[in-house]
Amino acid sequence: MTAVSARGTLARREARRFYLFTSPWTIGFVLFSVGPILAAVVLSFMKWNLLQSPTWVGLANYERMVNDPEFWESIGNTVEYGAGAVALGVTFTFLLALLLNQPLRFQGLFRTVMYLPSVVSGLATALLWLNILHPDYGLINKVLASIGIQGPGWLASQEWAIPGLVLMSVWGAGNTIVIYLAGLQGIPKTLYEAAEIDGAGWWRRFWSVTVPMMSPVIFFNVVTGFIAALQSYVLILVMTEGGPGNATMVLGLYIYRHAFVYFDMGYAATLSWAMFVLVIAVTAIQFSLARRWVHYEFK
Amino acid sequence: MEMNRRQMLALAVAAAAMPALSACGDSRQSKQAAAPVKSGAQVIDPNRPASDDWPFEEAEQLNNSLTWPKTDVPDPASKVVITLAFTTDAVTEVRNAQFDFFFKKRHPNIEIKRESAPFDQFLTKYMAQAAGGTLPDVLYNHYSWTQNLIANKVLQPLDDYIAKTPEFDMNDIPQHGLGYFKRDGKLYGLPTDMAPKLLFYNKDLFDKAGLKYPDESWTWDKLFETAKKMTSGSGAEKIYGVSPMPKPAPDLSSVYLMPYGGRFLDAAESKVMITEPNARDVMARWLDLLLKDKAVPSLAELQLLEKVDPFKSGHAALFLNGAWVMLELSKQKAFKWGATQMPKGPQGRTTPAVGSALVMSASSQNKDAAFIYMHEYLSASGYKFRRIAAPARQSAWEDNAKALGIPAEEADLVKKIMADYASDDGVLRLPANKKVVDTAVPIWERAQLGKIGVDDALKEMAGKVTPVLSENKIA
Amino acid sequence: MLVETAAHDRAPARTRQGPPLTSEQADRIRRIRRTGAYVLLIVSSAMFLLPFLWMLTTSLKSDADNLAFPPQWLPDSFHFENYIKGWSGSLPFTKFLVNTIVITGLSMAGNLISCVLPAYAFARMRAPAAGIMFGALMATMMIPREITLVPKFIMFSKLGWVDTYLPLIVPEFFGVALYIFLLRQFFTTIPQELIDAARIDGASELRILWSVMLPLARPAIAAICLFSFVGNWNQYLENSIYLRSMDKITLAQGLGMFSGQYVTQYNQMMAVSIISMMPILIVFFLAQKTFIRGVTLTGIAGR
Repeated sequence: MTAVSARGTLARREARRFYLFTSPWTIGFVLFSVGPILAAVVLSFMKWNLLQSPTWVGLANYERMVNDPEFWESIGNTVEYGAGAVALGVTFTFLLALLLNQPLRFQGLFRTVMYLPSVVSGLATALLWLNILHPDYGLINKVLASIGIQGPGWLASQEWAIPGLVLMSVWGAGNTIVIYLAGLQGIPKTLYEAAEIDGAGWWRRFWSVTVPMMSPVIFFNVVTGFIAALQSYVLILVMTEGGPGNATMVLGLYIYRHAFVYFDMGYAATLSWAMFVLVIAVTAIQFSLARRWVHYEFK
Repeated sequence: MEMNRRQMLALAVAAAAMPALSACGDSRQSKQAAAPVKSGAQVIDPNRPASDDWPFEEAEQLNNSLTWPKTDVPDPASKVVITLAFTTDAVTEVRNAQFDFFFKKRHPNIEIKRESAPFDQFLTKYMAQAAGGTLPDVLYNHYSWTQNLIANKVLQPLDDYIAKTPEFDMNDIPQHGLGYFKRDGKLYGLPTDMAPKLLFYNKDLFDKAGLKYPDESWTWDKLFETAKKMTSGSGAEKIYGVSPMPKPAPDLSSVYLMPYGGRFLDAAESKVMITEPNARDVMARWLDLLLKDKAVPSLAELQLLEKVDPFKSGHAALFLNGAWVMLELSKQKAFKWGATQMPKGPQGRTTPAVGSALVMSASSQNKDAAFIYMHEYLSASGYKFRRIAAPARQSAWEDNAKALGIPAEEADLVKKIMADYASDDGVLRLPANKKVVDTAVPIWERAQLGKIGVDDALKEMAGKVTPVLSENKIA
Repeated sequence: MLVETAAHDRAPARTRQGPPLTSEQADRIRRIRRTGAYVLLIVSSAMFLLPFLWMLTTSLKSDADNLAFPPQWLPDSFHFENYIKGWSGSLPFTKFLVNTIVITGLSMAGNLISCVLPAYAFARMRAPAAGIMFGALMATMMIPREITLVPKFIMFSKLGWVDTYLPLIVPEFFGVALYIFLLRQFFTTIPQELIDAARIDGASELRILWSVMLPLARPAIAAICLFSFVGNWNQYLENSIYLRSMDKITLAQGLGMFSGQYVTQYNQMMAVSIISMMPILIVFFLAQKTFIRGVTLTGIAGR
């Protein structure tokens, strides 16, 4: 009886501490986020061009969205881009991070170089990749041509535009590398030593030490990578403006257009909630799968 | 280990201290706004705005040599502040500051607060400000924005002010280029620049091919024929006959279709006309020129086009573009170029007169002062002071062309075109114009890739654009 | 450093089966592996270096070379004056730099202060509403910011905060979901034994956070500093909506002004971009040492 109530007191104390510790975020959430989020909910039932008072239109925006073929097209493009960018990005950068974590000389330099693309101006990136992916003069197709392969049209073709953008996204994933590098430091050396004593080879140690110990970090990169990829549009806006023929019209770009080109805020809000549902669905799937493979110290 | 932690801490402290220190510097500085040089951080000196490109002495001299037109709109009796928001770029910023400097000397009671945003961000920024209820007194407007702002009643008509200004000289501004800024007989904007599109050509390439330069006797048929002849090479040696490929842009009708009697939309922008034979045939010819003759830059170049047009680097023989590119062309020495009138079609010659304007917000508290500024900034003297390449006031053309190194004969040509036939007719401007373009372009892109025939493309365009046009109906 | 990471280095020399290798063989294998690693690093670095080289050559081109088509990688002549003309030719970039440092520095400090405590709580404490709150935290990352931008702008303009740094800095002192989530993930990897041991020693939660968790999560903290710095340094959309006066704007906004409506001065734009990238690269170079600094976790062997 006393033990139970003592545990209750302890739990209550821990909960109080939890609310105290999280309060910076909670207060900010209430002050700066709740209002705009509620406004965005209300806006999705309204028509508003920023210049006149909003008018109530009920479910009209939602009806319009469901019947908007470009919306559905953009969902398809977004998912294709997101899946490609995350799958390629998360694995490729993991391998790079492993390489950058080796005790070799000039690593500081190598790491800085690989972070460079995340820093260069968006316009420089866009111009560069328009050139790299150019079907006739581009670097990639020239290399392919030298081994006798005729490269695709990349951004100038409807089929290859998204793969082209995926390639570009991987190359700009410096932040993911940084997070992996940080994660690799947290793996206790002793675990490797123990595995080695057990006779585990390089591959076994990778699978039974590195991957499980890194799983929370990998998980983070997958989750946030998806969120970022599903929302991204800025470079796409500069490079293809959604073309050719809407092949790269992703949902983020579609929202941007309605919000800041047509100033159709009501419909933009509605589309935003569709994006929210899409992202939350993808994230929820990941959290439920995470139980099978992510290794936490504290459950 | 210990060392490392200390280093880390030092880094954190340094990072935290840096802003605190500079914040102190900053607050001190804003108090001393009149003496920015002392702060160490360089700002455009409000007492002597200057740069290498725009020396102060030259500005002062020019300013003194110009006569500034008068208006009966009274100067404010006591100090007022007007806020101006212009799109600006690194080139014009200092010049504008110099204009403001001398303007304030002429009008001691008008204080100026200038805001600048790049073109790409401008509309987003000021639509948000409008929603927040804080529009500047005077703001820049692209021709495709103004009708939407007028329809939503955020702009002030200027006719009363112009009536109070006998020296305004309305006839110095091409009247058929003002349609973007007019509604129901009222004028809401005064143009900041206005120019027609011309046919540019690369003299070197024509010399090499042994062909005569284009001139005003040219027809569109001749252009098509020559473009095919001038196309050659591949890869880095590729020469395109003509650039750019038409697309469903706001001025599609005026540049490409109207000489043949075709249109993208009707004049009221309420009906799609691109499927009609006159328009359809032109679009089909261009598509052939692209897909069969490879004489026009393809979609891949088109993506780069706004950044690097093949013509500007000597890789296209003919180039249909605005008179404003003359400034850029005059600067390069890689090839010799010329410009002439747009070619003639069976229905004559057409070219769009397009440009931007300054507008006054209806909510302005200092409308008189705002008008006085607009009037002087956009007077012939104002244009001459700012040295811009495509002045809307025709009397400023020669002086500016001379100062900017644009050949005199080209300046004359532009003036002649503006007087003869350049017009706003056929240039999309009503509120749905952006959506119309965005709806039509992807379909046309599929046609350019050869995925869809010209008739199917135009039919699909008509089908998808028509419902969008209902947004053009303004109560 | 070599000692700390020796385990990685030594490890590959051994294979799982077969007789033990002679030290000579092991040396050779090690050398081959190292050469391979260098080759891979150099090849991938070259790929990653491209954009920078592109910027560099563009920044040195003459106004006319700007327009080369097909693009020209090397300029015909080198125009170092683009750097001076771009930086101080007409726009007050030094002023923009100071403004950017103020916003970036304060935001970074705010992020650091406000993210650690919530992250620790989300990682290691139980409370009835913890799940819902974590859900809300994640949700704020998933709402496209384009749609809250205007309501937020109206809110801040009602407060009279437009054309001040407040809307850009103040919210940064109340936690950023992405960074809280990142730190939380790192806190969860820290062995429970360490915390339990500290608890038995009578350490308070704050004490545990400060002397157990933070030192171990140092690479993650460095990462957050970096992301916050880079993010604020390059932030464009928010800045351009909130900041109106010319003397308040930031580097990213100033860079945007090189692209005029008709003419873009790519050479000067790239020159100034390179100058404005330098602080980020310096911060990165300093921070990256923290990412690799091994964390000794002796005493918890046998897990």
